[in-house]
Amino acid sequence: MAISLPVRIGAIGCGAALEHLYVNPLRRLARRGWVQVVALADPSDRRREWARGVFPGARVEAEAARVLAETQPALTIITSPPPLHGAHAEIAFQAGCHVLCEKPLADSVVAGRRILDLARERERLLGVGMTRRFYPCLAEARRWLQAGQLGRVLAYDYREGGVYGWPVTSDAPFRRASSGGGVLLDKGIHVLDLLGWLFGPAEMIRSEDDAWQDGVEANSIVHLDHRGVAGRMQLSWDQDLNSGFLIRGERGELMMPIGPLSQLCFRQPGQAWQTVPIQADWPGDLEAAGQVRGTPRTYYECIDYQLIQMLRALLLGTAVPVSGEEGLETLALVDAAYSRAEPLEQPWLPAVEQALARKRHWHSQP
Amino acid sequence: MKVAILGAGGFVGSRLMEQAALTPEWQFVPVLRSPKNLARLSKLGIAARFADTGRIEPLAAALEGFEAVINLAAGDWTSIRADAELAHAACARAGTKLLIHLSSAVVFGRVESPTLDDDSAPDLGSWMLYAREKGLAENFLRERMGAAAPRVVVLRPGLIWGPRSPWSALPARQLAGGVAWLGGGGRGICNLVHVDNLARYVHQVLRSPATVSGCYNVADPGTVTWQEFYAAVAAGLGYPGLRIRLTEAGPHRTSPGAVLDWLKQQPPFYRLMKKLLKCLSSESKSQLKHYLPGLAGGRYQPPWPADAPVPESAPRLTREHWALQNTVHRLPTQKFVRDFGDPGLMGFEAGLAFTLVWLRFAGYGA
Repeated sequence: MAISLPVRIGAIGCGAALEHLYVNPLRRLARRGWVQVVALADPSDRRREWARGVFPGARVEAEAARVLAETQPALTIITSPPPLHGAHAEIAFQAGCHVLCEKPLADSVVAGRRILDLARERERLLGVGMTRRFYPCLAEARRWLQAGQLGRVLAYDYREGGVYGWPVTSDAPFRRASSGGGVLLDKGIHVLDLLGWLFGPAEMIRSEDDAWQDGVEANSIVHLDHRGVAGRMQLSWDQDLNSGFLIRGERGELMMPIGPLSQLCFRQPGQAWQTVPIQADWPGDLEAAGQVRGTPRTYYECIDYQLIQMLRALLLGTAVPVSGEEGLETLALVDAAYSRAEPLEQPWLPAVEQALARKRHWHSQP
Repeated sequence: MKVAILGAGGFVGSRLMEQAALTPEWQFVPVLRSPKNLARLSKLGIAARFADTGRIEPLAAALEGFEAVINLAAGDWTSIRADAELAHAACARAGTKLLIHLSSAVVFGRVESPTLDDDSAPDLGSWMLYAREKGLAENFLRERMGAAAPRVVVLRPGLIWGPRSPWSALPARQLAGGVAWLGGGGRGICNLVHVDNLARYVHQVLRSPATVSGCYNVADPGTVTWQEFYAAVAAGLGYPGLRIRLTEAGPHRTSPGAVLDWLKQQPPFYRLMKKLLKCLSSESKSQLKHYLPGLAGGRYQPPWPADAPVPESAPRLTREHWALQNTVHRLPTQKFVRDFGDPGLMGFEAGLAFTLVWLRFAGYGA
């Protein structure tokens, strides 16, 4: 069935992800006549009440299957906790919707593969929300790498650490049973996706984290190999690190701080850093020619552009920004990192504490 | 001993929790206001109590059954006094025997008099609102030290350094970025207390059979000047000592940052700013960061060769740093040892060794 404007939108999960990430972008697109939010589902009375206030024209129900069946959205955004993504994607596909699933695709490779199979069976589009692909500095860095301006890429070092500040409404993100993991699943899924996008498929070489038996990791270090490009990714959500991304090539280095979206610097060996002008842009309309192009200035504008590319995929048959296959590949890397996780070396702790922390590591035998 | 920690999700609290989780001697339980404050404790997988710590009834209920409470709540100056008053009242209501309250040596400003001791009155005329409010909170607790319960022990640390401390990261970040300027010719006393030494002071109070109440200065053994502190960090990380510059100049007063710092010390302006920021959505804050890039973080300092040229730089000290770097005397700590016994502190060299390996982990070093 042909999709017409405004595209009817549903969402499953009315928690922090919908509230803080999608509400304003959806409202902006609705004002342009491109989308209409018609269905929202959440088991919590409080969150449903909030959702009714924010999208007064939408049907809001506890039961996702019912509200989707009755309102027939063309695209459903899944913003529920990761362990529920599989079940909710299945409900959306059964209702005939295309799906944009907030990252991670699922909490396990098995669940992710099932979502992908369902999308194929039902011939529905599946996109994964990976907003960092719309960071202008990263897209520009990719243009540089693809144009061979660094020569052969040798290695990279990605480091991102700061005290967790997401306004969560429960302690679920910090329990393995309810979240599936810690900083690696939360931030790492974004970073692993963009690393694969920049350097190609990766092989997990080594993984270290600091989670104890009942906890989730607050620090994670992963070593990767992208067919000859050696990479190191370090993440933390309990401390400030000297956060930045450094890519080394034969002809020079690219450097980006973490935070600002448009800062990219280049230096040749022995020279000073120079700012790289950003030329990366994306289609900003729903016309086939895509003549209106733009560059996001803030994280939230990245979500606008992500939604626009998803709508273009629905209406014009262009590629989804991040496919289910790519989402699954990233999930497989996370899975590999978790299954091979060793205790993180913490030499700033006294020797007795280091030994005890190793013993308490979640992969150690109790 | 069963001990509740208020502010357990902060830098000091998370270290106390980490140590306690490794030993059967302590049963520390975090009492948290918001689920996001569990992030720094997420690796431990421990249970927390959640309570509205801004109201006496829920806080007192959360403190039921604890023998001692450690108050590390570290909000901004507007909540310091109220938090101390609430903690005391809730302890009294819950029947807690001991309240350990973390104050700050900043209540004595630049420690200009050699006769200042543990029982000296705080400087309530300080230009720094934080210092004034810490002093007022101390005075409130002093007035209640005669009561039967709870017993009140106020610990007054200087700059808490060590792994994960912003005071440890500061010299590393300044040196990595080019040049670190020190006021007072670098001769000022750096009143440091290593986070693990602070933990030992806390443990000593909990272990001690003493039944006294009082205020106690707590610091590392020995005296270290600012120049010695910075030189030790520079040498340990491989930064040339040339990057430490000494000045006798006063604080910088005319830069936009200095003006903002001054404004932040004016209660009406600060309250207005806080109110405005509270009204802003996360999206509006993100836009603000785009237009004021200084707010967006992105202070990444990529590694550089040890022989890189030292950049030119003019002295620019914030008022706070200038005041701290012009500290005249070391605060005495004999009263603590007299009343509670020797906490068995580690010296500067040992503390530095732990700090340096952490700074390398955090991404600093030539």
